[in-house]
Amino acid sequence: MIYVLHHVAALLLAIAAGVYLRRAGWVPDRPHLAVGLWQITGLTVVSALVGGLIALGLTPLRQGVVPGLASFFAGHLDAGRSTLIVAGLGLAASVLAAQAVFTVRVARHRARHRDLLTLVAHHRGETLELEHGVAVAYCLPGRTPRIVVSSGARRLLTEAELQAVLAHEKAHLRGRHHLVLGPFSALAIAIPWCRRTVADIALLVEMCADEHAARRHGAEPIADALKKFQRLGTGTPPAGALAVATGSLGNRIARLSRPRPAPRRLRVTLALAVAATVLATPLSLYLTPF
Amino acid sequence: MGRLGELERAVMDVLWAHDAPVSVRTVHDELSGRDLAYTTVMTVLTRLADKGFAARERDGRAWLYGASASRERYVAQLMLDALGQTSDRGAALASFARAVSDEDAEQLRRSLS
Repeated sequence: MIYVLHHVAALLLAIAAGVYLRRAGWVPDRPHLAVGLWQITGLTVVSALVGGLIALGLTPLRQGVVPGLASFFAGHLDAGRSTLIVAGLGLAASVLAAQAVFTVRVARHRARHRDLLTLVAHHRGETLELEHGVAVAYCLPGRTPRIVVSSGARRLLTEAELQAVLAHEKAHLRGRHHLVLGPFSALAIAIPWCRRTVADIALLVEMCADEHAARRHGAEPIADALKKFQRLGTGTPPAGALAVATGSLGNRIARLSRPRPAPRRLRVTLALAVAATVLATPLSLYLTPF
Repeated sequence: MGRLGELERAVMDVLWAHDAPVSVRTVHDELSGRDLAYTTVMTVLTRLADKGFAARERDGRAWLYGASASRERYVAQLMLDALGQTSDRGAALASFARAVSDEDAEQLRRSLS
């Protein structure tokens, strides 16, 4: 029973952390730390839910998850307990399946996008240029990553702003931000009510890339580029996702206009260490022999 | 974009330059400056057809190839994709900023229909 309580405690802590992270005022100023904490929070929720269900099923055996499961498969448990264990394993399997399906779908989507770029975009410096008046700049992650800038965006931005935007895209690619966001995006598709939270995390990832651009080129060019994009996006956005993104531009600009907070490595390390410890609790219980 | 990609692009440019479907021979002739083997051109056309970028039709004993869609249409598809206006919710791409006016989005969508 004590294992179950551990899992429940970890779950409650993770939910509290999630609620806190959505409200805390420091979050936009420390996007890297916040993203790290979100990753730990997400992992803790999943491992505590799965572990909690399985531990509840295994209570009479008084064993940890891994050794207990061996007894379960040997058929030493009644139907009620078995149902709990099957639910836990099913949850774990569906989380993994959702991730796999998402990964394959996104890979296909990117492959087609990449093929089309090969046919219609021109090389220009380190970027690919799309001949189109609408301003857009984005990156396509993969083995040969691409940064794409439309001719509209090139006309819109000054050279300094363009360099800042490129630094932003390079930060996405170098930081493997698509791998950070992937699991959350898959979650948002599987569980629609966490879409808002996932949009918040995506915004934090954008802020991380903005931060890199600001550190390299100063806050002004990247903020100015964002302002120009914001001015273009007038009217009511047709898609729901767009509304979030348009509103979020304001948040990104606002944080860039504030003075850079001094780095506090000790505090950041401490916060991550505490969170990782909370995560380690449900994970270690999987292996405990007794 | 590797050699193959560059070839695919050159072949598509030939297809786009013609209003009607053309034979492998025509494509090969128009790319004569590149000193390509006939079979290479055929392979590239087959690949493009497999990917859905070229459409193939039979003309007696030969195959004729044409572009499945205009270049502008493909550019519009890429733009909509980048602006997060396609059905895919997976965020396959990370746009710097997604702010597009109603008119622009509408115009892009119209160019696809």
